[in-house]
Amino acid sequence: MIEFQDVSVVYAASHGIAPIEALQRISLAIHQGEFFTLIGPSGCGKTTLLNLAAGLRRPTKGQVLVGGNAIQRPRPDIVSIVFQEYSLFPWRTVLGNVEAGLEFRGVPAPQRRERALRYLRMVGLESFANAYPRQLSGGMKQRVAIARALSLETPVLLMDEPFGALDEQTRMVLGEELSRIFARTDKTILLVTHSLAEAVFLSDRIAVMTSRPGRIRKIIEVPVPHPRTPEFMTSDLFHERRDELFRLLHDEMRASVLGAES
Amino acid sequence: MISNVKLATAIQSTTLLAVAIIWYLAAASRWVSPLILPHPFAVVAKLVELLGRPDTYHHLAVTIYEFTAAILLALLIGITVGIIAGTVRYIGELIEPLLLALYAIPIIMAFPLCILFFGIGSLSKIAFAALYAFFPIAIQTMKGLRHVDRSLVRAAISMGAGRRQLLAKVMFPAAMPVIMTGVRLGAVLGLLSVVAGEMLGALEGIGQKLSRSVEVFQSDEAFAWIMITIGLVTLVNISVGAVEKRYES
Amino acid sequence: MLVADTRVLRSPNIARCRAMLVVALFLTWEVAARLHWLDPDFFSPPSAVAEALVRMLTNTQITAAAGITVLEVLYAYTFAAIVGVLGGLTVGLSPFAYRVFQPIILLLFAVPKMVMLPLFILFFGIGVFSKSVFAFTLGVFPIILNVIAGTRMVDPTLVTAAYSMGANQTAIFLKVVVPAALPSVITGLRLGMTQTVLGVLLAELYGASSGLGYYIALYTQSFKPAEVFALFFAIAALSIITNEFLRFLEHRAGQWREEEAEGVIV
Repeated sequence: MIEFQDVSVVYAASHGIAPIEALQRISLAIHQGEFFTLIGPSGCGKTTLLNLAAGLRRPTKGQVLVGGNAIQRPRPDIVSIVFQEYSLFPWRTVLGNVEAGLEFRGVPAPQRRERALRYLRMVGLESFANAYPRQLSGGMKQRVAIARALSLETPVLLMDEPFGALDEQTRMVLGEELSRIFARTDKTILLVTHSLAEAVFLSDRIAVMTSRPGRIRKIIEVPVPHPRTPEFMTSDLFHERRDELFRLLHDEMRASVLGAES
Repeated sequence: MISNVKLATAIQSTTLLAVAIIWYLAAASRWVSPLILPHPFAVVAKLVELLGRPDTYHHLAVTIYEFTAAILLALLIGITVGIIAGTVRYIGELIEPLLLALYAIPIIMAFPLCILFFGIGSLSKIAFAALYAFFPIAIQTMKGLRHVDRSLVRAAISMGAGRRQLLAKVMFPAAMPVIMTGVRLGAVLGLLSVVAGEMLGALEGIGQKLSRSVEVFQSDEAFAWIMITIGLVTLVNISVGAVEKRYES
Repeated sequence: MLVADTRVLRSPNIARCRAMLVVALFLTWEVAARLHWLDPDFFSPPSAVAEALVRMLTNTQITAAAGITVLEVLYAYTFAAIVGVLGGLTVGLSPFAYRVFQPIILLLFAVPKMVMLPLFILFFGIGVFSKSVFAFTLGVFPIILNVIAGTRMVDPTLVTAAYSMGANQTAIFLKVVVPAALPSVITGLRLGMTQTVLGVLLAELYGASSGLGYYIALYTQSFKPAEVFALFFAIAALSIITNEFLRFLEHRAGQWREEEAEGVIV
């Protein structure tokens, strides 16, 4: 579904800073209906990779295909995105925010409202339709952002550290919700995260990235069906995968902090 | 490829240069009457001449005296009112909307009244400028004190600070950046009010000299006085701005 | 998990107290003037002021003068608003334009335009045009500075989000930039109005032969304090009403903000 074909990203030099090679020849194929996670140390380029699929950035070399379409600019008909900072419009109500995406897509008014309410219901926030973002907690705001992305009904959903700003408990609950929603739809989800537990809990496959310049070090599989339950988190398989991730990442993190000044 | 910054600076310098050139040409060719637009060199010459005359410094002194008196008065009353309104919650809520509403009035209208009461001498300018400067000082002091971080106050009280200590050692210093903004605004407004007052009705002061030189169509002198005024305003702005920066959190 | 609204409830009680305070001040003034604690030749009692006001309302010269003043304010403010908003949007939205023009604008703003007043009269004479242009130069700066600040404050992540949802430039402008910047724009318009009125009155006080400012100066010179106070209060009342109205709009447009943003104070 999502294909990165020999993709490299180099940030141009500016004002005395040498060019930065963010991603180095990444080739990756994400299957349709899969929950795929990118994880790696800070600065490894995982967000950059996500932005390529989002059409927010173009690769210096290689190309990105989503559903067979070469991506060069945002494709809201194919890809929807959930950002880390919620990115809700503070002057609109919750409902207004979920409708915003549909407005930009040109969906007529009566259908907009109905669809927006449907997805608010799916994330459990229907009763807050007329509230304003500043009245909501972080977890609620992110659920609105998820509803907004879902309402676009795209085959692919990208999520850039969506739970990064939330506390541990909210993260766990929202993770379970996400798994539940994922099981109900047939989307392909690409997630970027820092959290090992989150990666193992949610993903079918996890790509561990190296420190800059980013390459794929290893891909780990988690063959457990969705929706995943809290019990899964206490299983042996979970701990095994998590430990493996830890080992792989720990080396990379050390390299990124101590080694790579290049 | 020229960097953006360099291009921007180039455009700015070119504009300034263009203005200077146009001024020079317009004056030199007498396209605009010299009674209205003086020759830039004439202005500079006049400025030098003025700066050599002791009379100039007398008027400058008058203006500075009026300004200083006004500011001190405005600070005294403004900060007092600000402290009361900022610390006693009820009073603050009572008068804040009043102060904000009054700030919207074009206080320049009060100047003729000041002349009525105080005559055409320095006192009217001092009163008027003090009135003008009072508002931003009082409003900002009030705002600054009201919005002091509660956790600081709690910490101080838990360490046994009495009411006066709390105000002097915790609240006032914490509110300083906001208060200083008000002081700066008040200072600039105060100085401008003094000059405006001198233009409108006075016997002395740089505003009066400016106005007089326009009346007798001495445009070069008028421009020179404008430069002196701008110089003074800039000086005050920079000095108070420097003090304000010291308190910036 | 709704965050409680922590703004203090403005109980109607306090509004009444405020009104009573104002009334009390006026009463004190009235009494003090009548009892000659204050010289009634200078501090006309409010009753005399009210009388003068009523008389002036029927005086065609005064109403004509009021018309001129209002006209000058309208001319100056309309242009200030147009130039301020359009110019501000251009400078605020283009980083290059900002780099070029912001220092120039700040420089022009720093020069006290008040001192230019005699020059304006010199250049343009004493008429409506001259006063309007002068007031324009005073009023345009708060507007343009606040519009610039407002557009630059638009959260870039919101623009990215809209772009990723398929919004084109027009949609981004209308649906993201405008709502986000609106409160600041209104702040600018409000402060610009105050400055414009100030400019008009100052110009009329200084060297005019028409308008309300002229009459204030005239009544001052003919020692008619009641009339001066009356005009003062009339203009003050109008200014306050306009300002409060704009503040109300400002508040409504900015309710979604988390904290009270200050805006560029002028």
